[in-house]
Amino acid sequence: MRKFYALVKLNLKAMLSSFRFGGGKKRRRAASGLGALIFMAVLALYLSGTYSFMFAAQLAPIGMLKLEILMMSVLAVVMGLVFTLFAAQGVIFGGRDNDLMLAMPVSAFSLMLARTLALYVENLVFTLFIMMPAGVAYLVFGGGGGAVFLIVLTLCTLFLALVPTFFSLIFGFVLAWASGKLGGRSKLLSNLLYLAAFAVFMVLLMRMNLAMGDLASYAMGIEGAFSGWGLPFLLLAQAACEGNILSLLGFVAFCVAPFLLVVWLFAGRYKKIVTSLGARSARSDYRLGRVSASGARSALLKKEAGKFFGTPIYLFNSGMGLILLLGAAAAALVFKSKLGGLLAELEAAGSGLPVLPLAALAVCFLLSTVMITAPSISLEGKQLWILKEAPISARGVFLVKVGFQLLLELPSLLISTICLAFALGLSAVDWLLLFALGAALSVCTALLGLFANLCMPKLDAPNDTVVVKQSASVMVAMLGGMGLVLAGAVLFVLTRGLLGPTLALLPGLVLFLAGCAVLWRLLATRGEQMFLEL
Amino acid sequence: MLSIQHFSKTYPGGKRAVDDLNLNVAPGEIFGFIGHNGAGKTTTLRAVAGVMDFTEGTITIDGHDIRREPTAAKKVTAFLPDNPDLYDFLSGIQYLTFIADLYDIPQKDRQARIQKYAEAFEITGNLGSPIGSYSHGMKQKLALISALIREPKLLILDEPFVGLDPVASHLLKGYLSEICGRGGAVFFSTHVLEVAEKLCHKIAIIKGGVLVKSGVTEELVGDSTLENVFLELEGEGS
Repeated sequence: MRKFYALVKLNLKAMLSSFRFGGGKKRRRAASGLGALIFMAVLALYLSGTYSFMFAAQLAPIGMLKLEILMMSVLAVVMGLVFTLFAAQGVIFGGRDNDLMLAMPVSAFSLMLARTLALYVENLVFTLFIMMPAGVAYLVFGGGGGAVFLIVLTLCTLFLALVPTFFSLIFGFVLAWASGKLGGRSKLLSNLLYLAAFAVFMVLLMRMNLAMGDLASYAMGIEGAFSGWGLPFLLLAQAACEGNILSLLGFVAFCVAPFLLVVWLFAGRYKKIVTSLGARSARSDYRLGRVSASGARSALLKKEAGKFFGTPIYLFNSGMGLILLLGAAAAALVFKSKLGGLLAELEAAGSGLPVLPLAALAVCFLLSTVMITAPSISLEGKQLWILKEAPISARGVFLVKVGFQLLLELPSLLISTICLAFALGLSAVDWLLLFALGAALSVCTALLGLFANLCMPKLDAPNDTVVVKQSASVMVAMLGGMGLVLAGAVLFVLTRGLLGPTLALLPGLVLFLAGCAVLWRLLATRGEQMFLEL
Repeated sequence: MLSIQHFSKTYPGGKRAVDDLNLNVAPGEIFGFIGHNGAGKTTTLRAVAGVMDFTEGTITIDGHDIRREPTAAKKVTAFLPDNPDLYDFLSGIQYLTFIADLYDIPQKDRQARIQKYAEAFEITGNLGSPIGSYSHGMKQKLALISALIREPKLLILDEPFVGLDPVASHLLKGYLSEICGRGGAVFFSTHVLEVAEKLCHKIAIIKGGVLVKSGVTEELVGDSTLENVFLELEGEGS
């Protein structure tokens, strides 16, 4: 038991350390790790509070408050999956310390269970901080049960966190298996799996948003739908809201049984699984042909591309904004007539909805989620010596890393803004402004991500997943990018009366350009020194 | 070829890893750098290679100050750390091409050099496989090839013989002499004192970050062995 406890402690520490802001004193770094986790919990708390009270306000008048708990439990699982589905491959199966750990006098079962528990704790944080406000909203809007309700809900939440952990385990295994078995083709399969999982998320969220729009009329249908695939969620709601012991037992069984089954299945073969995952396909019949040649920058760009497209977690976590941007623009073009009808209706209703600023906001928001540079230094990891030893300046490295992000972002932006201009009937000047705003923001966020990563490097992460999904620089870059968009929106609101809805976008553009100048100056001066000190 | 003047390095925690080190490596010399674990060898080698920043002293390679003209200095240098971590997602040939691109090695030369060294170290057949599938020794051979194809004026190696099989070690010794034969220099650290004694023209011994002895190998060793000299120096003051 002591060994198992030590393993759990180690894995939890590894998880917390991934959130840490590098450098500084030990205590401060540890606090920053915990602080980042608390920040994520607060974010979950805020989101949950907003949704819970919105649901409860609509459901209470029709006497179906129980549905609020039911829907929030689905949201808790979805949120947990968003954060841990892609992390399981690295955390459970792909640890760089596999050899070291498997050589220790601990059973493979204990090792796997300890790693799974770290994943479970991460899910538990999200589910707890989503379900607690849901419970409060339930009570505020007149749901009965009081303290007993809260106790049962907390108990259910402890088991609910097993659901995303279970799915993450299976998904992680499939991805790890594909990486180990399929050689070069595994990248394609992994990318397709990520895309499929993302599509499922999007469908779920869209359905939820639809239901939210007219909850009262959907209420009966929703409860009916949950008697099928969503039975565990229905049982949770019955247990918490009606104090139904049988439902509680049924819910616990639904959560625990498949989880234990999959842990038992994987744990019994854990060593075999990890060993086979570690064995890469290798050949010894290579014949040296004509060797290609290019310049230093081109070589570095190719390396960046190899890492980005060859690491699904990096591709989808950091580049999802671009996929969504292109998807949204294509959808706008396909549904041009419907969109035109909607805009005409809004105009007729005198809503005064400015099309260009709205399009700019949507484009800029999606661009702010593209964070290719933010983990790029950390992803060099122990191979950073290769770049530092090479006859290329730190500034040259920065240019390549920022350039790679822009090489993906600017063409995507160009295509999507052209599509949007056609779909929304924008003038050439409007299109130019939209593109300029997006381009300036792209440069700014690319520079911001790189600078954040130099300030908060994580060169000793156990796997790439930790760097891409959980490192402090990624979080700071994402929030910083969104902050920039928000600042641009505030400037728009403040100057709209004076400049009109189109020209009021210019202060935002100036802000983004100023951000680019400041960040490049920082990178060229302090950034170079920081790179040398890594 | 290499000049280290008054080089010192203090780590953020306050540990002074190297204190006022002065060394010169002339063209055509193989220079061995010896010391116990934590003596400051790796710190010095990393500073010379421009991988680690420092504030005290000057290091020049082929007349280029590593801090003021890092790119020019690195252009004529090849550095190999003790445990070279390479890009696992690249294949061996992709990695060698990547390095050849960074060092502007002409197409014709790179083809011939890769062929020469890959065949000598017997890893040509594996060059198409991802580096992630290589054994430790194969990774070390690949890293060595990536250093040798640059035909560096100064080759900096940190414990190059650890992990190499006897044949590869023998080959490496030959290539080090080849570099010196064409006017280059080799600066390397090692714990294998027999190799250092036989291979090096000059040797420097560092202890607790301070240079305790340096000179031509024959003069330094005299009638004794390098092992005895090293152990005597280690024993002094301990």
